[in-house]
Amino acid sequence: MRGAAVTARLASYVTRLTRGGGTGTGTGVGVGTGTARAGHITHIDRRAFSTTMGGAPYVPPHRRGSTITSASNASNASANDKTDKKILHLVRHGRTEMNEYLAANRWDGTFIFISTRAIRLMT
Amino acid sequence: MCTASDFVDPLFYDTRLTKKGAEQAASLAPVTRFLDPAPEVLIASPLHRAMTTADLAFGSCQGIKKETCALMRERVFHASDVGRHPDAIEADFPDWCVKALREEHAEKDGVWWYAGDTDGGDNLGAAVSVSGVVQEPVEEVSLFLSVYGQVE
Repeated sequence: MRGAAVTARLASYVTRLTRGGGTGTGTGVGVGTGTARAGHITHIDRRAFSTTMGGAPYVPPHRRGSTITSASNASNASANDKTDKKILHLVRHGRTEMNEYLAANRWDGTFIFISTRAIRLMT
Repeated sequence: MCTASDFVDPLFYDTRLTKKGAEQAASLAPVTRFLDPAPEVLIASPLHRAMTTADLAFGSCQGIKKETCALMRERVFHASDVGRHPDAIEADFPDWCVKALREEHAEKDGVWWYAGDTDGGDNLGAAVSVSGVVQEPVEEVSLFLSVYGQVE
């Protein structure tokens, strides 16, 4: 009983993330992952990640060469697919000052404010 | 309703949670403490609101690894979506790791958010920031998680 209530409550904050279907990335997420036994909110199958990088550290796109994928990595990923899964919990951030401002001053969604100068000054 | 011409950006740079927002995040703590399996790592956008939410929601998960990930940032529509330098983040969130954030964006002086590059991009899925196309960053997030998902 408690478990169901907990699940329902958490689910109201959590977005399901699946690779194949619709994807909910949310915005400004906090994520917890763990090894799964019987996941209750969101399952992320390791195969969904299609690990082209194997056990190598994450390399951002602009630093990537052309040799990321290797047969051995692909093989290792395949082996891992059969042994473990991870659970990914996505949590949207709480209400912000800007959320309240937008609620009071409804924005039509077409306006884009990108003040490069102001942004640079923030650094 | 404001239109594009009369909307005024309040310039809430890297906007903060309100009291209500903090309560929303903290209300998750009694739930997350019972997660089974227990979380191994927290990953959040380097935006203040995201890390604060994660801290409050997963406050009972002691000793958990905390990583920032610029791939999870929001599109820059307003000043509220503009981030801060990794040094400033580290000062406010000392238990969050910004090493990767700092290193990956060292060439841009630590600017990890969309900053109006002349080529329309920031090498981290610029389309996210200017056209709303999300497929590319989702792919990148998957790769990022596939690495951090290996934490034992």
